[in-house]
Amino acid sequence: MPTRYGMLVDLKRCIGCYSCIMACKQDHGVVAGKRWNRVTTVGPIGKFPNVRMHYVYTQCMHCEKPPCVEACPTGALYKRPEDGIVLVDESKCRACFDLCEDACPYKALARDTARGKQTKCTLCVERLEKGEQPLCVQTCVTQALIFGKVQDLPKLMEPRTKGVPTHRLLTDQGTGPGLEYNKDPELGTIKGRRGKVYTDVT
Amino acid sequence: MPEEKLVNVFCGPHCGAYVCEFQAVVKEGKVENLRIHPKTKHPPCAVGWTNAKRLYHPDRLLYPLKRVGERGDGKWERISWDEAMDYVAKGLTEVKQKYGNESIVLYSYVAHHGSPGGAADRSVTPLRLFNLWGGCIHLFDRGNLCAAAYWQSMRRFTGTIHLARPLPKDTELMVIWSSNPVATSRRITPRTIMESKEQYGLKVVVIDPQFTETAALLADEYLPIRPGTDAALALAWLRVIIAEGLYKKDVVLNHTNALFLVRSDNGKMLREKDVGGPSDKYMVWDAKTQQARTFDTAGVEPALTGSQTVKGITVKPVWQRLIELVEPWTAAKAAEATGLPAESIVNLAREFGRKKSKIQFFPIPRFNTTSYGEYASIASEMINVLSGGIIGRMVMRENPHAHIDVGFHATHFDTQVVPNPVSKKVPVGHLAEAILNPKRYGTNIKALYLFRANPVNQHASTQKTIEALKKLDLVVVADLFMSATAQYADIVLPACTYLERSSIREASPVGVGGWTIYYDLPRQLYYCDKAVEPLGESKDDYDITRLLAQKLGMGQDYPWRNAEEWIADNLEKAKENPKYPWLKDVTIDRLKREGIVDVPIPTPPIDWNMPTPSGRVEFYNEELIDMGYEPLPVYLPPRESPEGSPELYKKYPLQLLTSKFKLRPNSSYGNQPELREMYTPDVLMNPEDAAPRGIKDGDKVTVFNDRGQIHLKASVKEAIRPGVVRIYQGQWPADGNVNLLSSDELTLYGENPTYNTGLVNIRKA
Ligand code: SF4
Ligand code: SF4
Ligand code: SF4
Repeated sequence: MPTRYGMLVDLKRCIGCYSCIMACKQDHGVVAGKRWNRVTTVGPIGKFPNVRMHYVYTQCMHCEKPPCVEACPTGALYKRPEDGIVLVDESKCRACFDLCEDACPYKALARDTARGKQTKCTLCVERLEKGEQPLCVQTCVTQALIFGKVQDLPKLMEPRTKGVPTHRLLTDQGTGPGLEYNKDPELGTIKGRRGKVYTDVT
Repeated sequence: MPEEKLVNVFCGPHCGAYVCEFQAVVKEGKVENLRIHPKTKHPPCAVGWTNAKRLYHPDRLLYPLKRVGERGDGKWERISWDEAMDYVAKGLTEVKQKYGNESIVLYSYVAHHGSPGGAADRSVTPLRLFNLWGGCIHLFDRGNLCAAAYWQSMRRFTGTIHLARPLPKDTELMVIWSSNPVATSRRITPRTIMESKEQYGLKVVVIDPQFTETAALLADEYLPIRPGTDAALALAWLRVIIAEGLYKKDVVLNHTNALFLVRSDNGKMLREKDVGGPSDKYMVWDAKTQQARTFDTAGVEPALTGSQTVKGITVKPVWQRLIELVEPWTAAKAAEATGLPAESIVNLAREFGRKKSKIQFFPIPRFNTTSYGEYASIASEMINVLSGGIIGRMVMRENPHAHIDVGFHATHFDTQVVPNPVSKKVPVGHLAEAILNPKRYGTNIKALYLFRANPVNQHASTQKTIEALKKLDLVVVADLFMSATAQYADIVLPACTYLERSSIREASPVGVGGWTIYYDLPRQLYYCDKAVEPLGESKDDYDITRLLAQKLGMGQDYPWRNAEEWIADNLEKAKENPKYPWLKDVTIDRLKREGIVDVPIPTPPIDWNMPTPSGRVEFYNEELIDMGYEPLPVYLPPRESPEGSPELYKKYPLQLLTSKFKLRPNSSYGNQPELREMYTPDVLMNPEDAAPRGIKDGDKVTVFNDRGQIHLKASVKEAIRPGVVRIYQGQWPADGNVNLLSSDELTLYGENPTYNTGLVNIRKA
């Protein structure tokens, strides 16, 4: 069975500090105004002072059936068969931009208009090859992000989720997202691209 | 392929961690990237990750500038370093000759923590120069901008900065009071608390008017207190602890001055010599013999309550005075003052009293910067002491930042600073007041020489600071950018980032760790190696000081040719001192190579010997009487508040909080594009306050009071008490600088500005 990577996002831990975003931007040279990963504030929900608020980390889900890849007319976006990582082959990207961005339900693409290339999270392939974890995971100040091969994840997650089932975002889109979330479904809504909405975790 | 070099560096802009070590990836003389340090693996925060970008920020000042228009006109002329320093030396000399050294203010503050010149050594390098040159008013010497109310009250209470707060893993209850460590100490504190919650079931109570990140992520219980009423809560809490016997009597008797007798006529402690005895010793009422005896008499049984007459003097034990003080503070009364449910107050007091292992945690509490922050600080620490929350302490050196005395900072402080011939001191937050109102501190300030600080933006009452700077004969500012303050300078000197200079800092695996919950941490030295040469003509602060020394004919006092030499020489001096045997294996090469060097210092024993006049925790402080303050903590409504200024409140019915923001250590990095794109400057208000003003979430609004007005976006959210609004401090003028609204009134004797006491109103823009 080919490797597939996944991540658990511990919503009890994410403090919305954006260290993951800034680290990623610095390391990958993500252009101004764009991000490969995001943190969305959800809440406050309820009436003061009985309120809840949390931060939801998202990034490219390295989907099992990535619609961005399907939408891309040139084959620039592709899924590596050996490990399922979705990447951009820049030499093929013709900067149509909207096609893939509209297809992605997770706002995960970050166009570089100056270079005329689509860009996105690479899951830090260069680090994975050296046996390191992705930088966002390394830099997470609360260790809210747990990374691993999909088959190892349940074991890694156990201490955090304590048997509570994990959830994925926007499963109705049928893309098979690779990130799981541990919080009960009280997330409210997160606005996705062009009015699409992250419904409550399902 | 050009060669890639990894250089050990640290970030240290006076955030909650103070310093984080990481590595700069340098290629062809350029910092290409940053890396998490392999030794700590502790990641930098979002701010830290932008440091390489900040180095190459397009707005960096790259050569010295001389003002050509009026102050504040923004008209500059490029000049050489030689011309600039001639101008500065001549200007300073003129002021010195005409008005004397006491007309010169040195302001070198905390915007970078590395030494030489860092906060830990109270800016030794420039201070040495000015002191040798006849002295100056050094703004590090009195008050400070955010923590002095707490420090100064602790200095009287326990004689130390604060009680060290170890967090045993199985701590049962943590009260995070008036503080938002999830945002401000994000690097490791939140994770530690989360792990304790997950693994050991730690319960966390958060007390804050705002539903902060800390309340959201950590609180099991959230108490939305009214701003500035923390002392009222503490007094009611103490009342429950005392009335229900939830305190440790042995602590009261053996480690506090609560058993000593106080004279009712003058409020002073009764001494043996007051009643005809030979000594200065404190007296207690001996329940056994029914007479006053010195506290250390063998077999004495001190009474904690009652009132007695000794040689015609009415006396009461401190404890009795405390009981009388807290007696009116029923939960109902405190509920009225604090806006918290009476039941929550009692429950909290009981729970805290009964739990075995608990901690109150407030690294630099917000109540510090309210009108009477000292009383709130002492009252809350009393709770800790009485109910066993105190376990250890940290020694307070003269240097308030040296929580961890590794020996390095102490050495250069001790060996390099000559006494300041000028004895006048001005609280840093009253720089403008002292200039505009010379009588207040008996000063006649004419010149300001400023590094690592941005008072126009960060001192309360921006307009006043601008007005004051315009009055001076000479203003010299060194900064990376044309800051709000640099705009009012005559000469602006281009400073460099820490990636372009060598510096050093005593620290621990959690940074400086002064406000952390750790006690038993290894001590370390962090080293920041110069990764690249300073950009353009910018210079290291140390080099600037040395240049000025040469211009003033004092080059011989700065024999170290650069910061690295200075560090190496100081390290040698520190190693010669038998007090610091643990430094023996530390060398400059090792520091450069490893970045972080462990310094094996034995953890100081936990004891109750307090460096106070009585050697005990001073519940009752008689010196405060001479200073005109209450010897026991009281609650007074903040000066600007519904109760403190009812007339003003009618006009400005919203209480303003000026909180610290997670993406900006004070005003530093306020212009960093990568961070700036993550937020829109806003004022947070409750829907109850927004609706009657016709304000909706996202609307542009004007926040105003008699001092000024600023324009922001309204965040209308159920995340703050009705009647209270929050604006983050540190926003640059174009983003809405909250200090246009804040008052420069100081707290009592700590003398920091009351940034969190203020009234405003809001209208739709
Ligand atoms: S999250 Fe978006 S970009 Fe990533 S694989 Fe799925 S569809 Fe493609
Ligand atoms: S670094 Fe971790 S805690 Fe911080 S925003 Fe990212 S996921 Fe959340
Ligand atoms: S926590 Fe402070 S010292 Fe550490 S990287 Fe962030 S801003 Fe720099």
